[in-house]
Amino acid sequence: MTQPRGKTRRYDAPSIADVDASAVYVFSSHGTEPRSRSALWAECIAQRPDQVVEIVSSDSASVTVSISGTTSTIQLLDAGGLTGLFRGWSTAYLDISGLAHTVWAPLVRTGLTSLTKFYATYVEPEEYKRHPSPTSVSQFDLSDGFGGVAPLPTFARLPGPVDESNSIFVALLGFEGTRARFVANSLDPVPTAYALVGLPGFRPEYPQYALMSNEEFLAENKAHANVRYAAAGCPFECMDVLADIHREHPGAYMYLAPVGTKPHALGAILYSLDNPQNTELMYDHPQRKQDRTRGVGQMHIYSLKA
Amino acid sequence: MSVTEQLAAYFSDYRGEWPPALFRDFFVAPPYFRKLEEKRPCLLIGGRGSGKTTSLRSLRFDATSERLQSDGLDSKTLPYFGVYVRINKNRVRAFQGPSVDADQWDRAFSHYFNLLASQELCRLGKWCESNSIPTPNLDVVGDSLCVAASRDCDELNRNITRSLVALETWVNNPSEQTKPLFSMPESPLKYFCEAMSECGALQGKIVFVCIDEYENLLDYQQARLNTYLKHAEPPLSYKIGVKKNGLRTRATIDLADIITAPEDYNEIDIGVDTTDDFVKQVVEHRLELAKQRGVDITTDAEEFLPELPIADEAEALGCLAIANDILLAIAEVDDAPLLEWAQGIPKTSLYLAKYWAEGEKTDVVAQVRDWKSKPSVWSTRLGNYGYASLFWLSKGRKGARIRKYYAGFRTVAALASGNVRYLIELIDESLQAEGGEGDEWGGFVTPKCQTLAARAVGRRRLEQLESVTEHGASIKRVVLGLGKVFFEIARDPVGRAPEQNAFVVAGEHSEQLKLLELLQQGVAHLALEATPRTKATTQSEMKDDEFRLHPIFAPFFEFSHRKKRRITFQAEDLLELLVHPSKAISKLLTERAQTPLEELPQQLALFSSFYGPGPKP
Repeated sequence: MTQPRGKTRRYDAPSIADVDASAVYVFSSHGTEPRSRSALWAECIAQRPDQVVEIVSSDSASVTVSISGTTSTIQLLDAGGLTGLFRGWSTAYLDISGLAHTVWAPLVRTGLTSLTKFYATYVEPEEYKRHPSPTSVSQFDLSDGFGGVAPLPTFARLPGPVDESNSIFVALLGFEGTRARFVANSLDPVPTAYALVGLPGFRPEYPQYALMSNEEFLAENKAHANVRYAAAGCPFECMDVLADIHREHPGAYMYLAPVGTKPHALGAILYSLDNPQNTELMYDHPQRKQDRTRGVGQMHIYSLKA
Repeated sequence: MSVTEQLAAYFSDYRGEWPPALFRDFFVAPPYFRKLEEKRPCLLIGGRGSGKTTSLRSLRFDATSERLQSDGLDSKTLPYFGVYVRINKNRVRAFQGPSVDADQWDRAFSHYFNLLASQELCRLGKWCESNSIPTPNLDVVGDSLCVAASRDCDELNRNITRSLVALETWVNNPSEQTKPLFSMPESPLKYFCEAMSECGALQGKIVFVCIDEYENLLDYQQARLNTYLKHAEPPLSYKIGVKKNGLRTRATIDLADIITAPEDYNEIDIGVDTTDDFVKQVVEHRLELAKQRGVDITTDAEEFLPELPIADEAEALGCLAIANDILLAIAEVDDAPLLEWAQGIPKTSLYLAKYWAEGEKTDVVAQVRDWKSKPSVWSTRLGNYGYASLFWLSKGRKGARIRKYYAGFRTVAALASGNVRYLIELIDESLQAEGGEGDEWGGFVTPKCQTLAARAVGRRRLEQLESVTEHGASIKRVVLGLGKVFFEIARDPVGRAPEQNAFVVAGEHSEQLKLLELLQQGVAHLALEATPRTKATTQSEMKDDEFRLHPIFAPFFEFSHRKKRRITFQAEDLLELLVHPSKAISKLLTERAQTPLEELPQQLALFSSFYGPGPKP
């Protein structure tokens, strides 16, 4: 099957016939969200057990994987160890749906450098859990707390901008309105702010939820005129929009907060890898709530390298 | 452009940091500034917006030079050379993890800090060069930083950037990449100062390394920089800006050795060391500046933000109708002498009889008789309860736009509680409210506009709580819960002392510790204020603190901003606010009846899904 780089295939119910037969499949074990483990991977375990890397658990610094029944733990800052997951393979699928950003982001980096063909997959949830006693317009109950702003493993940027006044802040918005503001607040003063909203969203009402939930962020930073849109499920469209914003600010240093949809976060990671000199990812490390989503929606297969 | 719009330009800078030119115009030295300028190391403690960053940045060489210029002095005759380093959380948090041992991280971080501070020192060197001040020989500095030889500050700066990139590569993959050469802790800074001294630039002056947002450092990183602070020697000194409770460790790298004030450094708590005179000066300085530039405005802060006397406020809140009801009630019992006596009492005082009758659950006429027979007791009562009774007046005034006024410079300053950013924001919002009124402006902000502005700022600050810290969501829940509790207490005088708006915590020790951790975070981020009854050096001692909501929230929740009486809450009830707010509020109010949701003030009604019973299972 041919899928050029930068292209996406979408399936309502993917089967083993829809993925490359000679690839390695990296995905999480069953989590607390139904979408974290697609039925497709159960087929792979059953029919191609030697081609499966199951991520059993992870924390902020390491990941424990199971390969053919053997488990091992790898530090997330150990590029060699992570590359080892793909060793012997030229094609890989990485399902980011059930994985934390701290895990899949460094795997995307190593996959891009060590593989010939590399796909990321993402399964939409059907719906998100609502908060029983919300304190703001953010009606959703998705996180138990936050670890605080810290770099994603392997994405630390130390030099910072040459001129802080020539910097911009771009937040990829989701339903938790506090997140973009929290990350932005760690910069004082906040530079010119942009927001990226998923449109079309996974559901027609989602873009409106994202805008409502982030109204305070937009108002505080006078960013209403700086809202941009990219399909919620498309990392490549997200990259294009980020490039457009950068073109509007030649030479600017971009602080990038991937706190919206996972496909947008993937776009941010890819953009940051393409522009290491002038892009800095800022992430707040949410502790994801149990059962934060319900149901299983479409699967997206993104071709990151072909 | 209207006068209020012109004036707003002088009160809108709270949204961001000042560009250098504004330092010259707006900077008013705070009362602690002389202490900050002393040669000794110093720890400057204050919340976001307290002026900590402004003060530290004003020590930087360029800002000092601007100030000298504005005072008509030679801009090159700096009394000290300050550089400013802001700790970026997203970067310092890269120096951790199990990939390498703690000692390696410490050495890597020390090197990183050397590089950061040296970049700033390069900018200082460049400034010296452009101001014909002798510039240091950088050979030894470069060597000590482990960077390539550099001819001048520009080249050294470029080499430092390369070194930062090399360090970045290593921290992102420390187990595989070749470790770069690490500079010795603090060594390049000392060499730079020596070189400055040798070339004749210092002439006995001190180099201040100002480190801002110290709370962003990991504990071991604080211990490393604490060591520099403890052992600082001229010509190098450190000025550290940190949020309250943000100095999480007093340890140095020698674990047996800790930093203490005043032995090792001067400690300045901005909240304690900021006076009302200073905040008045800040406002009047800006009014003066506006007047000089053609805005027709008073330069007296108290004229600009006039108070509303209690009697006028009572009238505005509807006390006359209550007083008339009292007179009618007396007329009905046919007591002509009492009626005549009561008619001689100003209606703006007489309403208190009804307030007291409700509290005592007695007949209002009996209270008036009591008043007539014990005038001195009631005179004292008016003094003690007059202000508290204003909140009670709002009961039943469903839909009223203003149910309690917050006006007057002293009130506005008290709401800001020493926080200059809040003060400026309150004034800016007041000017916007005045602008929205449409009428010709009288040259001062009316009590109505001051009140509407205070409520708007309170709401904005409440909304911002969630995003100031990773614990923000929990802090906001506690503030919303406490705000509702104090709102209800203020409106219901029955069996209570007036103006209860502070609290101490009792209950299970483990629950108290859990809660106090959250309350400490709240204090650090200006959700709460704490008055220590013991010196707060450990968490267990914090349990003796008396807390209150930051007064900036008082107009939003409509309770007294004045620091008055306290109440005791159980830690477990406060913690329950995090999960079952409605149930917790009932417990905190000892099951007293609450205002029905549909009668809540508009601003509180916005949170009815938080205050309500929640969805049925």
